[in-house]
Amino acid sequence: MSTSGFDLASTVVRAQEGDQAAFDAIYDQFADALFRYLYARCGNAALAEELTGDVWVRVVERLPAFHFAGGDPTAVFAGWLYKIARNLVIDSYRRKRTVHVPLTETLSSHDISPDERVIAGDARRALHAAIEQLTTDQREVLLLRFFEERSNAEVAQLTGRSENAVKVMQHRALTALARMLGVRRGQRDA
Amino acid sequence: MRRGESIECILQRCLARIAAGESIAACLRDYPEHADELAPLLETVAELRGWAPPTLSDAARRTARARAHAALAVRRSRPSRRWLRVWAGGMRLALGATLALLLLLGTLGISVAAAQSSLPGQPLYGLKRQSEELRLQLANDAEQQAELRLQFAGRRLDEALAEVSDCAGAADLMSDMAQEYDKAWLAIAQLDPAAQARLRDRFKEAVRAHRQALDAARQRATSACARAELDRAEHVNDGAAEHIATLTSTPTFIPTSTPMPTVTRTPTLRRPAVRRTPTPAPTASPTDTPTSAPTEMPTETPTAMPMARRSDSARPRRPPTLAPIDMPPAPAPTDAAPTDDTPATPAPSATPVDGYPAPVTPSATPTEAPTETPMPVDGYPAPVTPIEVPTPPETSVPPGGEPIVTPEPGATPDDGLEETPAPTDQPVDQPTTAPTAADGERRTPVPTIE
Repeated sequence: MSTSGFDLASTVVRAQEGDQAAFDAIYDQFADALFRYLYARCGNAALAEELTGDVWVRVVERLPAFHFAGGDPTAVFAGWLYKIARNLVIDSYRRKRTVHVPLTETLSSHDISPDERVIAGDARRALHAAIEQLTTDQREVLLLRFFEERSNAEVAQLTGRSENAVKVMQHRALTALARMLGVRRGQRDA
Repeated sequence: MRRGESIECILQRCLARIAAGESIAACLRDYPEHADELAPLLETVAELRGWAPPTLSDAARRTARARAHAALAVRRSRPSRRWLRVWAGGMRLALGATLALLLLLGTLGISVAAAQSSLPGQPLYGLKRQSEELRLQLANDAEQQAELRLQFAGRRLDEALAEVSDCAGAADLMSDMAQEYDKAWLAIAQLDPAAQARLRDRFKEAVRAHRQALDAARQRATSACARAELDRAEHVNDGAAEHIATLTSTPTFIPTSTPMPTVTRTPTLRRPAVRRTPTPAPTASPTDTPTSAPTEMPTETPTAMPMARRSDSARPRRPPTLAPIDMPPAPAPTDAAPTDDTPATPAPSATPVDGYPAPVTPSATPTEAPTETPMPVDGYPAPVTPIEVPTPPETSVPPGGEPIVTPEPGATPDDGLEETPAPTDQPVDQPTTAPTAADGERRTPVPTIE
């Protein structure tokens, strides 16, 4: 999530005062990351998209009360967004709004051969299925670490955990995923 | 390769190396003991990195933005909440000020509480005295003031005893204590008879308790200066005790600072208590006992001997303080006034001190010097080492001319103290017992008003 050339702090202040253009800048910066986080939390792309609209409505309503307490503004604001998203997913579970949509259609759309597509599709489906088998916290850590490419420290701050806890969660998530995928020693590079 | 690392740390280290461009195999070679466990994890990460993350569809992106814009418009249409922020800010300021005030009051309260045990010279002593003044001002009536005055007299005594132990000068504290006694008695004098009776008992209890404290302190006193200070305090206490003896049904108060040739049996409040510099001697004014001229009368039976003093052979005895009406005028105070802290020399020639005739034997003036340099305090005669106080010839001279041992004035009557041996022939003007004197406790009759 790059915010180069983007003064997040001043943009947030203007958005708090009702500046739509400032709000759009924030939306463009964080929409995809927030969606991936919602997906990581709920494990369902369609639900994640629906929840994305709900999340941003809540962001508009609660933005006036937000203030930078200190630290990296991007990490602080992202953590605030993720917290809204996390609570929204919990609320949606309470409303029993669980809709499972196969992940295949939302996966990478780069051009591949039919055979490769079949093989890749099998692999992706297997990976997708395995990811869905993980716990919410394991999935969250893996997506933030390896899709968001965030450091352990950033993941710790965003999820409210310690760095050590993030390391432990990462190890458990990878162990579980490897077991489900049937990955064994012998597939490593020589 | 670091030994003892957890598998999580090793995994993290390998992930960092792989992200930097190293191969999985290179990392596994560095951790052969963990290779079987590390290999699947690192290969899984490789698969995860090759997996394209899900993205927000354009439709969903537009829909979410539109919903956010609608919410933003609704929020802008609401009344400005800036006043709420201002109000909230004001409330925070008011809350902060209130908390600060509460903290200040709490600190002040703690300081006042801490000051109550402070002694003269200590930083909080001024606060202690100010708090006492405030309590007096807040007192609802004379009864409450009297109670407070008694309490403060006890405090001055405690402070004086603390000073005494260090042989520090406690004269001011004694004066203050005497003043508190005076004012307490003055407040009692303003009450109705029922309240007077009640407060009189409180006064008596307080004086008695103070005397007990003084006695205890004397037991511990090891230096002459400490004993001298204790003598001062006892003088003051004696004077306070005499208030009780003189109390009648009518509220009265005898100003003590000036010598009075005649003393009405029922003391009346003639004028406000006059402070004898530096301190007032509320009651037992030595000048109120015009017993005899120092030179012409060896002694005089203390016609008004309100209270006997506890017998203490080591302690000097003092002449009585109350004088009958018919007693000859008391001699004028000598220059060695109570306010004069210079030691009053116990003149063997019976130099009167503060109106009191020097105790002398029938045959001679007292010759025995006090054990320590006596100092008049607050109008009370300097302590002397008397052995006996001869009776005045025209009053109570016993047939054998035996000197009458005069109990020290101001002693609590019911302390099992020695009473003044009554002369066999009481003088005509032998004071009679005051009707309202300490019931049953007076050992020596009090002069009645003729």
